[in-house]
Amino acid sequence: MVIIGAMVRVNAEQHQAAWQVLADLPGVTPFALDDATRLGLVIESPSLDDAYRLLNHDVHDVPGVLSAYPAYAHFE
Amino acid sequence: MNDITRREFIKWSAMAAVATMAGCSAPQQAAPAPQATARPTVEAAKEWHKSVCRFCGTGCGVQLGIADGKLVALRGDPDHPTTKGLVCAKALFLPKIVYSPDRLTKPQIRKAGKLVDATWDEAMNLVADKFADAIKTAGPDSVAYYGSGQALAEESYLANRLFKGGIGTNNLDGNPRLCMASAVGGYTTTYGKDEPMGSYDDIDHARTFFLIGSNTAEAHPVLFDRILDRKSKNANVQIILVDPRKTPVRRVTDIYLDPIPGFDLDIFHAMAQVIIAEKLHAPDFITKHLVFRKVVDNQNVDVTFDEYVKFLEAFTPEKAAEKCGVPATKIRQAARMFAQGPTMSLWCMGLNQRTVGVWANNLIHNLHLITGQFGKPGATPFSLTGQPNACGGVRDTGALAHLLPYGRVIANADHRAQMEKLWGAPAGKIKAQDGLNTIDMFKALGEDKLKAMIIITTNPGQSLPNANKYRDAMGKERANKPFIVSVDAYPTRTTELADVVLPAAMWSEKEGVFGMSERRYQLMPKLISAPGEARSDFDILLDFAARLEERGVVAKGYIAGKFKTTADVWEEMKEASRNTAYDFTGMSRERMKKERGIRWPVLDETHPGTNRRFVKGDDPLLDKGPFADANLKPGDIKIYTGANNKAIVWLRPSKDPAEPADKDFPFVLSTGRVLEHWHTATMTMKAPELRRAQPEAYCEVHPLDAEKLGIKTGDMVKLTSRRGDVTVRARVVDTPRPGMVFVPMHWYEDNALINKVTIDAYDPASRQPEFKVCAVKVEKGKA
Repeated sequence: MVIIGAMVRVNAEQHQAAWQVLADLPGVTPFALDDATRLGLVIESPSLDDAYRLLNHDVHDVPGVLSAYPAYAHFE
Repeated sequence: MNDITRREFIKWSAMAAVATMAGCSAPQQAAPAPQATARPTVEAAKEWHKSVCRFCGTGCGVQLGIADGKLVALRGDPDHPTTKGLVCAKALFLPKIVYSPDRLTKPQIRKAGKLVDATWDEAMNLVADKFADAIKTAGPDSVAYYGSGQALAEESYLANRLFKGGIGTNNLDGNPRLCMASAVGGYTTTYGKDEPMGSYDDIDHARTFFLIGSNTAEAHPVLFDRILDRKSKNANVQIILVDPRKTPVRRVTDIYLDPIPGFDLDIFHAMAQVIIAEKLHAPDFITKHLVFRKVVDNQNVDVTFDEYVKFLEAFTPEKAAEKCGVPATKIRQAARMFAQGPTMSLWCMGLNQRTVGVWANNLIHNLHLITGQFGKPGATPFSLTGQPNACGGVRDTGALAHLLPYGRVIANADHRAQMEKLWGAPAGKIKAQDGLNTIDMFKALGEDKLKAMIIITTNPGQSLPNANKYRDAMGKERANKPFIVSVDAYPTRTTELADVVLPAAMWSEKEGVFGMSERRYQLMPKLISAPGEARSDFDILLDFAARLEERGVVAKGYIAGKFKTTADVWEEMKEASRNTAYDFTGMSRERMKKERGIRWPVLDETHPGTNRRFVKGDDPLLDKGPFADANLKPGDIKIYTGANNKAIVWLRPSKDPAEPADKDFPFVLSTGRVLEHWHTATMTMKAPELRRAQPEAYCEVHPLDAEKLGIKTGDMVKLTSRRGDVTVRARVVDTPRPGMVFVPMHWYEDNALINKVTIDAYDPASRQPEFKVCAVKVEKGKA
């Protein structure tokens, strides 16, 4: 089990659209932070490979996402 | 678990960590909050300690989770004053990297061509014998040290002390010569001393960001986020990017200038020309703080502001556009935006790794100086660094062939005398001539002029340009082959060439100081044990020094018995900084254990550290000590390191790269990084996930070029220069300019080791090689 908490920087105008696309990614749960240019993500996946791919490729490729930063990682 | 599952608890922890990092009190839409008593056992078992990331020069604060004496987790440190809890993806893999099964755990000696295990005593005696023999028979300059911006500050200082003041050779250099020597040259020629005057705090005040040759998004992602944060909250913040490659930074850029690689100097002059022609310059600042200078027949000649203006007439935007391939209108826009300010320039290897690196740095400083974008919040030039301790560990400790600690230089007799006195070395022990810089050091090795070299925490067998030549210098069998010692935590393309390999402790396996890009010195605690018999570079250097003393080539007691720990060396380092522009005598070890780094200068225990140098009210050196000036008012600027307290605007001529594209080699090769890997990937390739994320080297080819060459994405392409060739997979993307190809520098396999292709021509001022520009031909290759 791998769980990663990450902060995602988004274009403010595309915040809502990005949220929707992110919420549809398997294992990804977005949550609100305090402004329109950021949102939080929890990524749950069976392996670190999958979590890494999700964070650094799938999340990055979502329109409106500018960057993503892990803040917490739990893997066992 | 009482009321929630363990999985939910961990998810909550993840959310809480993100919210804390983002500065929120709690996630605003989250999983159920755990009961106060519901803490899973695995969390309760961990201790968390503050530390510093091991990778780039950003200096991210991290917290390390330890369980049963083992590093089990890493998270960003939300209490860190400048990185505020952010880390990049690479950092999360540090626990895996530390515990890689590939770690070196025993000393090895080459016997009959093979490295075989040995005892420490056997290996160290051999090393000491070889060095002592060389020094006795061929003199002190027959040996050399090649160090690293990844060693602890105390380790580099100790090596510097041993070689320059103990053995009596200045043949001590390090890998910062490959990445930031031109930035050093830029600062020292413009302001008199090295290191930035501003800090990361300026990001929060800048209105214009001028990014030059810096893929900040991938190479310094945490700082990139701070820039994005500033831009996202302020509609008037704008970003100018100068880079021939459309890196991910391009996505947020307002003005993009993509010069032909190696031809950007004229852009900077043209911006200055526009600024003055449109009266956007700062006459008062110019009068108070600047002199203008050019070089005539190798002599510095001061000139007037009017002569500078006349000099710039040759660099109108239209003329620059012809040379650089950037539209004149964009140069004008960039100039106006720059002058508006507050402007913060950030640059990296695209500017430094050039045969005109120092000049390019000078021209960025020129722009700040003529506009007065200096010494105010958000207005500063700021060079980014690639290694965690190139600044504090090598530049500041003077662990390069021309330097001595804390702004002193070999060429200055007073400086040599000061260090001889502090070190307890006899007068005249430190030679008056600079030692061999990196490229010349390895050239001398190939010519068998050096007899023995010790290489610590770096991988020149992969990282030097024109690598075939210098790999032969280190490893090719011959009658008088020099003796090579490599100290490393992992097997590398350098250890495979060495006669003795010593296993090193790394990062949290030892205690010491890292000094990152913004003059912040941070103490890393020792939290875990090194594997097997691995020892810290510090212990190895102490042992080495003691054995050299026993053999009579270093004075008895010069090092042995004086220092037991890195903390002992730190005390001497503080004294070496006293009354210099770097003064950090207020950084006691106890204070550093508590605080999350302190920015020098800091003269006493109560001073919080310096955000902005040269500014009265910010910089304590203007209040106390040899640079104090009671006549200044708060906010006044005094560039006290400059000649007559002034900075220099340099009139640098235009100059082409050493090897532009030509008929036979019609493409320009530039090298750089990817997000997942770092430098020669000695560490990051040890994390299987990072390796799988970027499994092989590649070459970016522009679609227009690919069409002419008949190359598609996935094809193998052969890149050949006058020095060597590699064959890697093509990616047809419009990221590089047409006529340019890009290959990351991380892969070490023979067919992908890109430094076999790069050029070892170097900047005559900084001696930094031109990794960013060389001529190649590109052909469809065979898989």
